Amino acid sequence: MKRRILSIILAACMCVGVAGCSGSGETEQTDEKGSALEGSISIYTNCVGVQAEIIQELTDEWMKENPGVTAEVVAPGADYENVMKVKMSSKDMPDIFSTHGWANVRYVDFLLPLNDMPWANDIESTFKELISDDEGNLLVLPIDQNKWGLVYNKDVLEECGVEVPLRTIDDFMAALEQIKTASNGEIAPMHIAGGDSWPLGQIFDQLATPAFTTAENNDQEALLNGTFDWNKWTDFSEMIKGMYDKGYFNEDIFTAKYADSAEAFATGKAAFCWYGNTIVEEAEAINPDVNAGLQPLPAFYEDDDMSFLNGEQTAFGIWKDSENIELAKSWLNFMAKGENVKKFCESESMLPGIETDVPVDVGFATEYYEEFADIRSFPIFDRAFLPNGMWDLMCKDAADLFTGTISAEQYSLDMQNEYERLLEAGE
Amino acid sequence: MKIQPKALLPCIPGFERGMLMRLKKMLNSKGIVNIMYIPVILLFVSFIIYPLIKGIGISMTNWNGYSDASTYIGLENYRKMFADRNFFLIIKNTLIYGIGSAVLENVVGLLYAVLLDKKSKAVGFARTAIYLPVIVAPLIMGYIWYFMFEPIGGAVNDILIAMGLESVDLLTKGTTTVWIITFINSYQYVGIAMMIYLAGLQTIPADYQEAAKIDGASSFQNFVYVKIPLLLPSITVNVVTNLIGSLKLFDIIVAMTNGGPGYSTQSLSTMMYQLYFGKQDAGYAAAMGIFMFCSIAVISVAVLLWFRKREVDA
Repeated sequence: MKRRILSIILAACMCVGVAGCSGSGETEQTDEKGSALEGSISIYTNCVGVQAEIIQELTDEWMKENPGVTAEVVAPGADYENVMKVKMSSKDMPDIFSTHGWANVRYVDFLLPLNDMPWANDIESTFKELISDDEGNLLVLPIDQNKWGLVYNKDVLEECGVEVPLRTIDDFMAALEQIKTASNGEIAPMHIAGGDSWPLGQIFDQLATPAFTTAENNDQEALLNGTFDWNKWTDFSEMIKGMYDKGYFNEDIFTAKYADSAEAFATGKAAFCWYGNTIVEEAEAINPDVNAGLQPLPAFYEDDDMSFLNGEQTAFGIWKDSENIELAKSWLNFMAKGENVKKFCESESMLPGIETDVPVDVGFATEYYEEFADIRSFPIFDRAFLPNGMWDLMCKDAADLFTGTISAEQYSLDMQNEYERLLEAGE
Repeated sequence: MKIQPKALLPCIPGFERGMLMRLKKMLNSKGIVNIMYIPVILLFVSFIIYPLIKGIGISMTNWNGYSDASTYIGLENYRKMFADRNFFLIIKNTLIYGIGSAVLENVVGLLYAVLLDKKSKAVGFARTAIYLPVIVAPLIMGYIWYFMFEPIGGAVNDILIAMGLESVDLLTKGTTTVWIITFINSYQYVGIAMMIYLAGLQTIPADYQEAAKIDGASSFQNFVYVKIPLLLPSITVNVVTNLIGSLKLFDIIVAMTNGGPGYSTQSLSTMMYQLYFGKQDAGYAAAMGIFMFCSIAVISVAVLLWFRKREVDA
């Protein structure tokens, strides 16, 4: 009998507990004009390391300026996209979240238009198009922006007698061979952290821009309207497979992690990396004297020119159904202040996403952006020309291609099938 | 135990004897026992039955995992799964992870249990050392072994090089890598198997073994014909739980190879995860999940029934 009485008490406690769980979590907010802001917001970011710390520091400063508010910064790191997908499916988004390059494709249905924000007109027009929806509504505050090119270790190239800029893909291939030969195989011409899977797609994605979208006769339209000839991807992937076969990548390409790439770059064991400017910051943490350089991506065709890749990097939007929109707007306005943008961009050598009256020093990249100021910029290939969701296949099949598990034809066929499936699902 | 109304009555002001009797009757009724099942049934329906039914529904759509839009496509995802060129490789890997781990954990676990079925300080230390990996999170265990096996700077390769041998990238060797992961999974959980076998061995009455000895049985015969049959309940528990756990192996694979290179070390669990989050093909991921659920259920029940038929009472 004692057991039964105990069971009743426990069952009652469980019911009360379950009921209690569903009743909490409401936030208070006074949005009367003229009164101080009050309430709490959640901010989710894909940033890690120094950038995540800066976001936390700036948020703390914002809370000091607004004593009635509290903010929780969540930085789940590599799991960020998965966390956000679960939140999107449950329609339970954070008040503010990073869109990491996908504002206009993946997150557009969840974002509040920000046209009325005071900094909305301070974004350069071609870049603004990339972070606006089809009706021209600005979707996010871009703290910084990508301007990706080919990042190299200057000392390694000098040591191996390679002169930059490498204007064509042939020049680039010749440089890779020269590095391999001159270093006697000691230096990896290119370092890719395939153990993390996603870096394997970087070289395909970045070189696809000059291969398919920058020349006068390009495939932009065909890629967008679904008429792209995927046989071209066969030739393209065979070319990159050729680089693998010739030993132009690090020997641990399938198991190396991102930190290994940074270390190899920092210690002069790798010449080129495909991660944009952020790898230099990571490398400098290992070797402050690392001498990094940057050039635009080489052209694939004789009549074409080099190019940069441009797109959003660290950008924040507001969930359109948030109950704390005023608070969220206040936070964005705070982040858009010149000194805050400067602090963030200088931590990663990235260009600012908005124009401010506070000059930003982008470190090693400054001289190269000045030198190549006239070089055209194009949107990042997969974000602009492939349906959302192809990245994983691009990386997995790249590994299978390199290991000889599949042919370049099979890779193209898989890409085509997935492209068509995702287009159909999107419709 | 019966409630003593007289003892309780003075404690509750205004509580009448009739009410107490009714309460007593109610608490002793079958109805109240059935009410106790409600929380468990609610939890089971909420977290097992509902997701399962929902999963079956999703597996028949082309849902991308987060948008509002999805279209009913019938059994297309199941057709796609069986036509997928990587599917049978993934099945093979999953079976190696599952059956390989179950066999290794049970054989080694039983061996450890037999060797350590004694009372001494050294034995206690050995049991603790074998059980210790169980308390490490599997993801951490995967990373520890990743650092052992990584081709540049990994301990295994450093040893090979020190011995004058060529270094080997053991994490990119397809089926060999699958077996390495299976070994690591077994290493981590062999302690649980050992503990269950130790408990089983200690419940075997000494009379049976003495009787066998008197009849002239050798130690080996004693083990095979006396101990093993009486250990069958422990074997059943161990094999079935190891099999279920290893067939859905996930963390160690993610830490060591993330299923790669390509799809070479993928299991059904890791593939399902990558289909959902990577390829944004939640319908296909759900179809694979349903297939995995049914496969594990069929294999587990079959193994359970097979062992149960052979169990004997001590």
